[in-house]
Amino acid sequence: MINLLEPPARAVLYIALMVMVGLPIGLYGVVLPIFHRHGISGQLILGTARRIQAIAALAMLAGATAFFIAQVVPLELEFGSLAEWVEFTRRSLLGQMWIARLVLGLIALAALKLVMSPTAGLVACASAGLAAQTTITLTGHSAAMGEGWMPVAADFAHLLAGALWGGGLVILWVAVHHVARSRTPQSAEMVRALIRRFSPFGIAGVALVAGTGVALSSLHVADADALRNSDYGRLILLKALLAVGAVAFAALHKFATQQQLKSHADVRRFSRTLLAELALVIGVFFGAALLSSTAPAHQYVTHQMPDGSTHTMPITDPDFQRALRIVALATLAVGAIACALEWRARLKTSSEVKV
Amino acid sequence: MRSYTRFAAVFALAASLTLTTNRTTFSHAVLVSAEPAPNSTIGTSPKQIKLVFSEALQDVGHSITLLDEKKNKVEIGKPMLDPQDKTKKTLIAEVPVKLALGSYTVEWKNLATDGHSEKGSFKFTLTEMTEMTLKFAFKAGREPVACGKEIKNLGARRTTAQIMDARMYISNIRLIGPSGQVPFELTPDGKWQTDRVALLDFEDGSAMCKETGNADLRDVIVGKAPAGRYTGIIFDVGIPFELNHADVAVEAAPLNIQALWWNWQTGYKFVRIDLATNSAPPNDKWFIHLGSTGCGGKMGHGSDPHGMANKPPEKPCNNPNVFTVRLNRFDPSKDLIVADLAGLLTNVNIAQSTPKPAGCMSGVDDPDCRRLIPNFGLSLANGQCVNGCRGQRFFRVEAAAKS
Repeated sequence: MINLLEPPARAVLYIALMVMVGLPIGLYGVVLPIFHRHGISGQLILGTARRIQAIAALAMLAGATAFFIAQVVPLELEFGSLAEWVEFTRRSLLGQMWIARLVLGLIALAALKLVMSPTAGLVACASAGLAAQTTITLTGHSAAMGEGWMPVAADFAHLLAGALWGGGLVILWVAVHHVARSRTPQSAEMVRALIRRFSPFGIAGVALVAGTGVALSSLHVADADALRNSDYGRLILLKALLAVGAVAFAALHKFATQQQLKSHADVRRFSRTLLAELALVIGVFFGAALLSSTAPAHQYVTHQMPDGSTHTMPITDPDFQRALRIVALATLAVGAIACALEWRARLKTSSEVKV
Repeated sequence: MRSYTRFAAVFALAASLTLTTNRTTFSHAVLVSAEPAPNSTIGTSPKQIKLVFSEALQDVGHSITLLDEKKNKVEIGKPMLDPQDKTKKTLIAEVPVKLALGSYTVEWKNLATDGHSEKGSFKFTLTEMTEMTLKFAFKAGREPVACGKEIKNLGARRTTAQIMDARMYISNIRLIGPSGQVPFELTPDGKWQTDRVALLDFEDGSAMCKETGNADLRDVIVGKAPAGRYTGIIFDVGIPFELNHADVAVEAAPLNIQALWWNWQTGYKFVRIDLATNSAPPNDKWFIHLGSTGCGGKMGHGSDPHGMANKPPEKPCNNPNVFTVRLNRFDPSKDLIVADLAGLLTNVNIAQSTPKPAGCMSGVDDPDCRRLIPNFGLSLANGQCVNGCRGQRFFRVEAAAKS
């Protein structure tokens, strides 16, 4: 049974962190270099990015608190005094992580507000977001398995890659929207350059999300039957479906839109389809929030022992899990090759532009 | 615009297909084992309650409540993580008082590392246990079987034979009383019994038993059961899967006998009865080795089709070949459980053995097993009990002679 308060609280937290971490990477890795190359000041977009980051940091504070409440309420704790509550908050991982997220959110807000350099403010905010992502990983299903650092690292990489993809899309959309509104004559060319420069980031993010996602599924889904017949398995399929939809949009943008972008009207149309891709990615994050609130599809079998007692053992299908791990590795390998090729093509294009 | 509408429609259809139809419910941190174990009957008051879960737990936020038969709370310590368990999956709570005999309920609630909570309960019974000795005998019809003694009229061709070995492992013993089944707790003795498995040994290493046997004999199983009057017994002939695939070189007795072990993957020979018949060579030997088969990769595929690798199998064996014996009208204080060789060899031709190996080594495609395996109550095809193994012809009860 899913706690109804938990998924929305988690979703707010995840999306806020996606923006806090991914947006600065997209801004400094993709948007600002293109703006500078076309002689457009980055001040306006930097200001917008700062405002979005501040909203994300506030959302993170709200999401973290709602998440804490959502997880504590079902525990039906019968504490008689405030001291007992304080003790629980201090000693439980739930409480410790809530406090950590609050502190990190406040640090991010303070950095954005008080630090004069926008770059320093955004980097501080991204660092706080990254640290908050670590707190999510340390209290996730993979950490609860108690099987060492590998599942936890995969979980962290999954979140980080999602942030790279989603946060990058947010700032890309902001930049495209900005270009569309500015009505500069070189708008189509600028957007083409933005798409080209974003491609390696997008491919890296998607490949890492998909590869680590499949690897994590092999840890949390016992067999093919559980993938089809459990809430957890179905949410994975739904999440994959949303991701495939977003990737379809990304492919459309890369292979069709980029070539066809000629006029200002094309830029506006691209801005709309980019928003659709972003909406699907946000849908993936909602799916992730639901998934993290749902019990993993681990299967157990209960044996009757000689003394009449019962003992429960986990059962898994090693062939299914092996197959998933092979798919995960293949996805990561293909992603790495595609990313390298894309990067090389980008370097070639930029050297031609310089000539 | 139409293409977007079509995309949205296809997407909605795929999503609805993903989320509808039947589903199974799963839980977060599941109770894997406990001490006292769920539904167990124990003979001594526990000093602590120990619960092992499937997921790592937080330091606080758990509860364990112990209730007696009248649902009154029994005072126990605060639950805490077991410092011995580095994976943080074990909760313990001290039981400072000596519990009175009776039935108890343990109610628990946990808080896993991922912030999710599960709750549940189970029962255990504290009862007075009395020591019992179950008596066994190895016979062929009415005649006792022993090394060096000829046994006549065995099997379909009424063959004469004598034993070269006769040993078997017994586990999972339950007594049937007026209120149902109760566990028979084995008393470990470091030689014949662990707390899970007991060995019966009907060869004394003499005559033709010299080659594989030894001088010791064992025809009893010693243990404890709740005091009461019993009218039947149920036991398994074989070793539970989790104990079967071990290294015989390092296991404790009686699981350290090389002659009763095939290899790591296939495990132990649950029953070993070697016969020397009066037929001419090469039909002068007939071996009965019952054990699990199909414990390697998929049969006929992979690098280890016969399960010979030096590692335990990844999955349960295709043919477990553990059979369950249920004997009614059995009084453990007086009656004898007879392993009847004549019954086991009903319709089995031991006058010849086709092809190699001599006799039946539990192989699904061994013609010598075709008649024998059903006499254990098992299916030759899958090594599972047929109809609860009711068709087994090996074990029977012999009532104590009236004095």
